[in-house]
Amino acid sequence: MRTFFKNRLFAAGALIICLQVAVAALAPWIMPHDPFDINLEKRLTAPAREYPLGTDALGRCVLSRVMYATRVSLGLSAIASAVIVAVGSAIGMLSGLCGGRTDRAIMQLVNVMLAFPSLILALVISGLIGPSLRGAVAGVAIAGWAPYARLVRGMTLAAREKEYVTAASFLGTRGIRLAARHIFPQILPSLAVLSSYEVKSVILAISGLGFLGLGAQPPTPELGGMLNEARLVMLSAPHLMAAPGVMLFITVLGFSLFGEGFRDIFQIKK
Amino acid sequence: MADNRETMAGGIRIVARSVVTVAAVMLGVSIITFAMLYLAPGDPADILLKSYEESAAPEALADLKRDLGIDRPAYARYFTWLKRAVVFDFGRSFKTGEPVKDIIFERFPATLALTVLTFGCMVFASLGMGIAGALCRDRLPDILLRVFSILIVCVPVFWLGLVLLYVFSLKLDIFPLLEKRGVAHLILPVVTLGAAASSIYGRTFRAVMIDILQQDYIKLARVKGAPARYVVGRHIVKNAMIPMITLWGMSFGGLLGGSVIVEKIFSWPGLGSLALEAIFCRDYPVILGYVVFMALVFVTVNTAADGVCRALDPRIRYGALNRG
Repeated sequence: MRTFFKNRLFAAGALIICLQVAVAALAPWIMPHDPFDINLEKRLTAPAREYPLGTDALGRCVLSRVMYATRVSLGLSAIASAVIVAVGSAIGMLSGLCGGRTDRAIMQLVNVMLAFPSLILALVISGLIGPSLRGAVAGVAIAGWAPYARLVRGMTLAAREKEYVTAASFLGTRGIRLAARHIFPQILPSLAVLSSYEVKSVILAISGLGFLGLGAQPPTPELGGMLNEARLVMLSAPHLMAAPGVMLFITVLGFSLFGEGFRDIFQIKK
Repeated sequence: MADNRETMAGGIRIVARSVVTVAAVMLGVSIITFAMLYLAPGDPADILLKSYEESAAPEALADLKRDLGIDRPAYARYFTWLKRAVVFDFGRSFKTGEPVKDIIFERFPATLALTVLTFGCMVFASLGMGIAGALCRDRLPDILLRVFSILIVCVPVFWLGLVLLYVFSLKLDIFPLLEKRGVAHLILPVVTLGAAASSIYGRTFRAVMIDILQQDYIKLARVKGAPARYVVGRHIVKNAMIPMITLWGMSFGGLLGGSVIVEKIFSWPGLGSLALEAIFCRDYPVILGYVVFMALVFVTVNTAADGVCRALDPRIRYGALNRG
């Protein structure tokens, strides 16, 4: 554990992620106001004592909304990343372990999926499902599993070549047992690095969809959606762009530093 | 002479193989896109009717379904659609009744200008950042570049776009919003779209260059007294380009996707803004045409990048010839 936190990048990333998760988890208790509470008398006010980050076009507290939006954005990204990691790893390992016809069929599918520009695929899928939280998660997950599966397949193929895996399969270890006992633990570190990068791009994709009007629907705040709302009142209240943008930037930075640090640690160990 | 002819035959073979690859992948793309549409909740005929009147009469609905051909089984519809799609006939827009082909070709040049210009700038920026970083390795410029690129990658593209728009168009008035569109108007969109990709590939290029710097043939070139500029340009950068070409090709997908966001921010009249409208009013033929067309552009760019790679790298070129 100490080796982990000696790495400054890793420590900084972990700290940022913990803070963000804390804000997201505790949002309902630490928000100064109700994020849905409309106060038409105080629209687009500058930051002041009562509203630390000012109010939006409907007089809602921006600080509360950013906190709540972090909760929404992080939650959605966590679900989408979990789906991508689970589906991608399962399909990648299946492809790498089965080989032959199964492998070729899966790789054909992956190649076709990679032919779509991913944001466009996510956009269209969530549009077809209908602008909603569910749509955004489904869009990002369906658009995102393929590259992940391909990388996991590559790792699985490399892991299979190790002598002790060959020995294990000579001794009769097959299928799921071989995958779970011998392949999975071996690729776990690389998988973890890959996943932290994945979370980063999933957050950007989900908030990108939110910005385009897919994803969380008003009045539910979401970081990308809040920036889209801020865009409309850019001239009269430019400060509205700051908070959601900074929050997104810090979150993405956290996962990115975390991933870099993680990678450094495991390279040193090798 | 013989060698020349052989290279040409190899070139033709590479092109032929690329065309087959593109066609095969696009077949898969068309199946998946069609399946997506088929599985999507909501009946196109219902949606189409409701866009004209509030409640749809059952007879009218059945008539319309027959007219649209969607009363037939899915596979039959797929083959009809595919036959037309091969010649870019994606049907007519539900909303305006215009042929989707015309709409796409009317809007595509704007998107193409944006993405290609960004692509060019990104290639040069990443080359510059990579070369500077690798040659000043671990000294101040390199460290600054590294920190900068880690930070810029984390900036969401839509936020960067909004901030640039606010600062340069609204506050400083350098690129006013309501002027005639020209190349100057592409500067902010290009910077927005290309910033993250440039720094990602700048870092990759730096890593590739550092790898090459440690090769023996570089030492040899230096020892034999070749001028530094020559060594860098001829031996290092040229060799480092080869793995980059494929990566740059793959980045084009990101640029196409990002163009939707950038076009929205800067009100650039390209395909992205068209697709957004189509998605929100469920204009299925336009959505389908858009997705398939974007995939076609992306696959073509990727395959072309592969081809360039083969043509430039004798190891791959002769490898392909010997195998073929």
